[in-house]
Amino acid sequence: MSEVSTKANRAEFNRDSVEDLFFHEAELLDAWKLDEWLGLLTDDATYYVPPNDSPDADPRHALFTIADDMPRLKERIIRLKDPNCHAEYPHSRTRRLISNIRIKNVDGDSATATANFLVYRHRRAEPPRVFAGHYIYKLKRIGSDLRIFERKAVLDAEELGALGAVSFIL
Amino acid sequence: MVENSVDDYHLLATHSTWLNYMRNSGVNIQPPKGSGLLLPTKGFGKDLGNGHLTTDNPNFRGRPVAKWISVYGEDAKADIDQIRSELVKRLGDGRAARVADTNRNLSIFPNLIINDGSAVTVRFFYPIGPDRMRVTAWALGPVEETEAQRARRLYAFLTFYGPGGFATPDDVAALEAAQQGYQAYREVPWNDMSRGMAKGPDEEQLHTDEGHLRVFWRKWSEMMEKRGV
Repeated sequence: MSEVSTKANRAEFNRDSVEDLFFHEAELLDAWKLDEWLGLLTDDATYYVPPNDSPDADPRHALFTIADDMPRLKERIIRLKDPNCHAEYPHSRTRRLISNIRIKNVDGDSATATANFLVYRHRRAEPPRVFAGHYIYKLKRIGSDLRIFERKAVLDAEELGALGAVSFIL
Repeated sequence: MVENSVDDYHLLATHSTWLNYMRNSGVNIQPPKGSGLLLPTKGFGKDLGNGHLTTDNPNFRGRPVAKWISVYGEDAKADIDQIRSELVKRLGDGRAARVADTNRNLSIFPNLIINDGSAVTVRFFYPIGPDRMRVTAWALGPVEETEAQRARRLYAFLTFYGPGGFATPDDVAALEAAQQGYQAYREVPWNDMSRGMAKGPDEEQLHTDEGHLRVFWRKWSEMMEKRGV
């Protein structure tokens, strides 16, 4: 944590700072530290899982798997911590491998960065399920921090049936 | 899948996190009133013949056409009022209220569902093995909707439905757990579905009764077991 903070304090968009942010995020999500994870996002951040057959779609035009604004994302976190969230109680064990991190564009205090992900999900007695895909992040520099302004997880799977629900934060 | 799509008493047990989401967003989730009723006012389970069935409920969770809830945002109020007045103008007060203030979960025997609630969703499912069901779902919308109306409908859909919704994943978890339980069918060969059975033929089956679920299973039994009804 301290190492992450030190590096993030530079608040520069470079491979190190962005990689630290993504690895820190993966660690929080895998540890189910969901409130802390929310702290990595801006107050007006969005989280998207677009349709597999139309990853570039606009959530106002096409049905997404997940299209959360901040009010809904906060509610999602409340839900994920509730024992009545049957899909995630007990919650999945996930293991995220984040790689191929690239900074695509920097524009003042904003940047776009991409990364590949493999998320292994284990739940109950089911065989493990592997969610493969890539992230597209829009990041913002807020004071000495890098924060996530938009987070899009694009799945490679042709269909979702084999993956089951996307009931955890992907 | 049929039972889960049309039975209304599982709402509180299975979807309390969705109800919390609605409540936290300022939607008026009224407490149950009256004995044996789980929803604010009475809803019904209807036998449509030949194994087809529907629920018929007063709406309390908002409808893009046309009942505003806070989840849609203040901006949407005027637009939803306008959709409502168009309904009244075209269909009259009574019919417009039918469209805008009631929800239906309709099952076309054996495997097609049209759920007309938070948003209209169509589901088709087909067993591809004894322990595997392929489910395809669509979101249905009016062709003439505006960009803002479409955005609102899609947003409303995702409050509840789909693999990342606030309710469907819990249905899937419940179905998987039930499927696991059914593996004990040799020891426990019966599934109780008796709610509302003591009622007379002239009494209404409520949506929280299981009369409409028996409609499906009686037809299934007639066709698969040749037992007759």
